[in-house]
Order: sequence, then C-alpha cells, then structure tokens
Amino acid sequence: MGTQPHDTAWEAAGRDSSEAATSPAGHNAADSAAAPQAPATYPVTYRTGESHQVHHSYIWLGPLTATLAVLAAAVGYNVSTRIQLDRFLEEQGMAAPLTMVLVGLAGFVAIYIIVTLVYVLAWRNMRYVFDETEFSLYSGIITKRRVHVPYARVQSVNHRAGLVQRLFGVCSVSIDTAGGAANKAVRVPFVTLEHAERIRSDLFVRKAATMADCPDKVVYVDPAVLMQENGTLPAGMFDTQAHRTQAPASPDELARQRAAGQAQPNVLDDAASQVASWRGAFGGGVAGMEPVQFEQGLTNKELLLTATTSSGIEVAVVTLVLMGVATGIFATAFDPSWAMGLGAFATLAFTAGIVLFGLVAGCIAIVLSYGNFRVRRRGSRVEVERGLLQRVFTGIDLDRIQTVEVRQSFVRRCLGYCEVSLGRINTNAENSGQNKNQGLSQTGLVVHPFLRVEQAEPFVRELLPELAGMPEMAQLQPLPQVALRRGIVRNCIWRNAMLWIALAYAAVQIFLHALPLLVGSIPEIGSVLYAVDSLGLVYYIFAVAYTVVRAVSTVLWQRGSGHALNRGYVALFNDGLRTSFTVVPRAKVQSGYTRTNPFQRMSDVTTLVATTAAGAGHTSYRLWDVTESQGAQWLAWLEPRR
Amino acid sequence: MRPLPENKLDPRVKNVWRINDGIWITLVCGLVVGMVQLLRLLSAHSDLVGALTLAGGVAWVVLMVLWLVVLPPIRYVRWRYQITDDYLDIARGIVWRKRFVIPFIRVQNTDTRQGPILRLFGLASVTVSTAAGRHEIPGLDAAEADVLRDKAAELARIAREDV
Repeated sequence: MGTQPHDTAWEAAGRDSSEAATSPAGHNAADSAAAPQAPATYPVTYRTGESHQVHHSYIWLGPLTATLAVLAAAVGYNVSTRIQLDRFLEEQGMAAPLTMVLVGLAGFVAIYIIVTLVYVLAWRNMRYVFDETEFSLYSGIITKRRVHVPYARVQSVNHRAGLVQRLFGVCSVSIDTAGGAANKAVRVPFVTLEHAERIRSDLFVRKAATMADCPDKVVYVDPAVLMQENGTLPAGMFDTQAHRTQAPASPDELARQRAAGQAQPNVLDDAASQVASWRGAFGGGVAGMEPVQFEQGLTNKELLLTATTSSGIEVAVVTLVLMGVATGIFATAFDPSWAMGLGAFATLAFTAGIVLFGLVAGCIAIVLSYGNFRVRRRGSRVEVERGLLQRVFTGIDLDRIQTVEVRQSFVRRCLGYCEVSLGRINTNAENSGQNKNQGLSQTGLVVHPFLRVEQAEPFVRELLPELAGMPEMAQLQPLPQVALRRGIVRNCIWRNAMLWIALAYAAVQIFLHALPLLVGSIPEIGSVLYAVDSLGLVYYIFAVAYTVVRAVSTVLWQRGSGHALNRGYVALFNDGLRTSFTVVPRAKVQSGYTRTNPFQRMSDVTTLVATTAAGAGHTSYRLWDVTESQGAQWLAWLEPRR
Repeated sequence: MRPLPENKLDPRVKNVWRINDGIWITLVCGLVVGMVQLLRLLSAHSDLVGALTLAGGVAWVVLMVLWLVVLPPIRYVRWRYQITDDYLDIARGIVWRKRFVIPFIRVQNTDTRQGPILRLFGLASVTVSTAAGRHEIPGLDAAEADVLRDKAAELARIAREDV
C-alpha cells in the first residue's frame, strides 16, 4: 500500500483522511498501516505455524444439506412412481404408509452415514495455518490441495451463515484476494463465530505488519486476554446487537444514537437482536476489532419500501397487468359465450393468485435478506451486514472500490428514492467444497438499498469521506440537442425489439390475407384470420405503448444525462425512467475509448466508454452522443498526468 | 479534434489477414456445401441440392472478394497506433470507429505472439493486458514487436498490481 506509487488525488486524500480518522484507534493494529507511526506490536490470536482444524460441525452439519437434497430428489421420484409402489405394497400385503416412512427413514440414515464418512475424511484433511508470510488452507482426501494467501493479497474477509449454521453459531469465512485481474476467494467452511472473527482480525493484523515491513513484530496474544482488553468494542459479525446485549448501552446512549440517526431501528432489528444475541451453541466470545466510524441501518419504512419497490416486483406487476389484458381480450375475442369467458377469467384469477403469492413471497424474502441491515465504516473498510435468517457479512477495502453507483428503478424514481452500491471485482471460490457460488459475490455491494435521492450525496460523503472530490449532479456537462433526435431513433426504432417483431408479424398477417388471392379460397381460413388479427391488434397496442414509454424515457435521458470529469473522477449519468449515476475514481479506469458510427460522425457526436475491472472480467460504462470535443477531452483526460 | 496516431501496422499484415480470412471463409463455406452434399445422399431432391451448392459457391466468391480484396486495404488504413511515454493510443474500425487510450500504469502484462501465418511473414502481434481486458496490436515486424513489448513492459512496471 504505502510503497506503491499513487497517482490520484483520491488515494492521496484517502490516506490523509484515514490517518486523521483512525489515529485514535489505539493499538488496533489493522489500521495502523495507515497510522502515522507503526505500533510496537501486532497482536494476533493464532500462533504462527500452528495448524487448526475447522469446527466439528462440518462433519455432522455439512452432510445434512447434501442428504436433504438427495432425500428431496428421492421423494420426488417416489411420488412419481407412487402408483406402482402402492400396487407393489398391496400385493405384498403391507401397511403402505408405515412401510414407506420406515423405508424413507432408513434411506435417509444410510445416505447420511455414507456422506458423513466422506465428510469425516474431508474434515481430517482440512486445516488452516497462519504462516510467517501467508495463510494456507490444506484440503483434499485423495488429491491434496493447498491454497496460499499471502497476507499482502488479502482484500476482504467475508462471512456467511445459513439458518442452521446460525443456530449452532458457525459460519463460513471467505477470504477475497486480489492480484491483478485474477481474483480468488478462499473459503474456510464451518468455523465458529469466535474463530471467524479471530481469522479476520488476524489476517488484517498480519497484513498490516507485512505492509509495514515488520512481520517480526507480530506477537501472539491469548484471545481471552485480547477480548478482555477490547471487550467494549463491537466486533465483526452479528456484533452490534450482541455487543449491546453483552454490555448493554444505557438507554440515554441509545436515544442519543437514534437521535443522531446512527442507529435507526426497524421492527426487525429487535427480532434480529434476539436472534443475534444468541450466538448459537458454539458461538463463543467476541474478539476485538477497530472502532466503527459511521454506521447506519434501515428504518421500518425503508425496509418495507425496499422490498416493495425492488425491480422483481416491477416485472411481476407488469406481467400481471399484461396477462389480465391479454386474457380479457382473448376471452371476448375467441368465444364470447359465457362458459369460455368464465373459464378464461378463472384461469386469470388463478395465475393472478400465483403471481400475487410470488410477489408477497418475494417481498418477504427481500425483507428477510435486508433485515437488520447495517452498513458501517471501520478503519479503511466499508462493511455491510444483512439478513435476518441467513446472515451475510461483506467488507470491501477503500482501495478496492471500483465505482460508486447510485441507481433508481422506475418505481423508486417516482418515489424519489435510490439505491447506492459500490462496484467491486467478483471473486471465485478457489477451494473445493459445495456451494461454490457462495464465494461468487454479486456485482456491486449495496451499501444502502433505499435512500432519498437528496441524501445519497451526504450519505456517500459520510461513509467514504475520502471520496470528497466526487463530481456532483450539478456539475454534469449536458448532452447536445442532437442527442434527442438520435436517442429517439435509436431507442424507438433500431433497438426496439417489439417494433421489429411487430413488423415481422405484420408481414405474416399480410401474407395470410393474400393467400386466398394467390391459391384460391381456403375453407375455414376466416376464423384463423380473425384470431391472427385480434392477436395482432393486442400485440400492436402493446408495441405502441412500449415505444411510447421508450420515447418518454429517451426525452428524460436527453434532458438529464451528462458526464463530468475532474481531477480524480469521471462521472457518467444516464437519466431516463430508470437512472444510473456512476462515479469512477481515476485510478480505477483501466482504459477508455470513444466509439462512433457513421450516423454519429454525421452529427459530430461520439459515445464515451470507461472500462473498469468491476464485476466478472470487466464492466464498461457508456454514455451515448456527447459532442466530439467532449470525446476528445475524455481521451485527453485518460492520458496520465505527470 | 484529436489527431490520429502516427504509426501504421506493417503492410505485410494485409496478406496475413487475407490468408487468415481466406482459410476461415473457405472452411465455413466448404462445411456448408459438404453438408448439402451429404443431404444428396439421403434424399432425392437433387435440383435443390444443386441450387444450394451453387449458392454456397457464389457466397464463397462474394465473401472472398470482400475480405481479400476490398476490406484489407481499408482496415489497414484505419488501423493506427502510437506509443507515447505513458499511454498507448489506438484508432481502429471502419464503420464503428474506436479510439482507445490505455495508460501504461494500468497495464499488467504485455506479450508478443506469433502464429504460423505471422511467422511466415516475419511478423508478430503485441498484446497489452489491463485488469479489465486485453488490447492487441496485430502484425508488427517481429523485431519491432519485441522492442514495443519491452518498452510497454518497462512502462507497465510502474503499474499498481492491486486493482
């Protein structure tokens, strides 16, 4: 960190202010890399070179999910072959239900035992070691694997615990590493919460020691002692409430925090604190970590609206409306008799019921996944914890933030709310084991799912004070007037799939109508044509509505969109019915280009594209139709400064 | 308006493109015609098969003329690059024209590649990779490519490995 050349104001500013912000952190070594003077020692809770096994719940809890999956498949199969089975049992003269239960149970136990045996072997062969310079995970029953993580490469240490895991106080730890474009995550499955926190703390302490070039100053401290010293500080996963219940804050203090907007509560927070305070059967104590500089949660209203305005809900509502209209038209068009109409409406009611059920279930799932949402700033990292049942803890180092994105879906735009997320590079789980995609993080770390648009900038400023020079909305350079015409043509004609389908359909329609003229009269063609025409009419109405929506979106896009370049950042804003405002720090722009097609060259406009390493592989952010001179400015901005 | 980059590719690259594209077009057309011939063995529609074979042949001629005669000179004229002290500048594209600026401090590795066709002409291609993708300069004189690669690697050494 310190030794590599920095070329941006952002990073320089980042170091300055994180020094200022974290200097009172005392002997918390993880941010002492940024502190003015190196501390005397770096306390760690794992002895160097000592190997540790993961928690024994790996053996008996791990196989459970695998067995349940097998069982579910078996039940599905049984149901499908049930008739034969019943007949067979009848022939044998057995009491069918009892036998089936017994057979099922025996099957379950047998599978469980077999899977457990494999897990025992896997567990015996799995161990993690903190060496002088790297963290290693050994695994593999027949093929031995050893995954190394040099401490300097550790980027974030994330936790994830499913419901059952939470009951027993264990979780999976995934260590994200960074080395150029190849990002890997090492997953240590089934460790207790205490160990998870110690692993995280130790990794960052040892990273700090490595970065400060004094790995000899790493000293072993008994975790119990460290916990006593730092007992008053909240620590990582499930911490806030657990800490509160362990050392209850005074009501005054809580009231003050609430007044300051620091601990905005929601109904689920209380439930969550109950769940969280119970650290499970093996949870253990809380290890010490650096203090929190900024913390925010979600209020009741925000939590509820997060769920009801998520984009999945939008899609479901649109589907429902479309289905309703289509069914209504069909019911009257095809056979206006009452029986058919009733049938159609019954079908409609049934599908509507299913969609509504899906909607409600989706809302509940989102409420649960964002339940007890917490975003906080700790040292040089942004940490997000969320989930009422399945708990997810994710951190991202300040240096690893690729982009800051403020997005609005259609409904949120109408309400004036937005979602703030940080772009990051996806990582792939490296070590073997099930649930590989758990290590695969979704693009962007949502640091606030539902925030008033006006509050987005203050929120980002408070969460990431280092990003002070970020361009604001008011500083955007608007698009030229010609972008409106070009945008309408592009969005309503060229890129309007509905229009092209409509044209194809019209061609087919014309062909069918012309067919009798070509080959003479065809019996029964009248009803076919009627059906084709009425279906076409419905489709054309949708296509026109869709085109109008796109046109409206384009007008909004031309009025609001723009870009801004300043010393440290590029900001691209694409307005419309959905909006996205992306800020990329200069150091994270990997390359950039402008692109023109012949029509753009006629209008003297160009498309700007900024490429970052965010997401899987890379992500490009583009803005269509800026003027040619702005394009040239963009290319000049990309050249490194001396 | 930004001036175009100074350097052009080696002129011999046009022949490399011609051979390369010629092989591809012939392969694809050959495959299609071969499938059609296979159809002849199975069914009796010989006139249809003949028409399809003819269409395949015509397509082959048209594609060959387009990719071997028309496109290479235009592509060659449009493909320009320039290496300054701290960035790589590329302009390319005939219909969709792109102009790249790749700062060397973002370049993580550079390498040269030489396939059999490039080797035949004594050429090599240089690839420059950032954390977000690769950029290739096809068809430089092999010696020149080595110099360019070394220069890019030298400049890329100051790149931050961490992204």
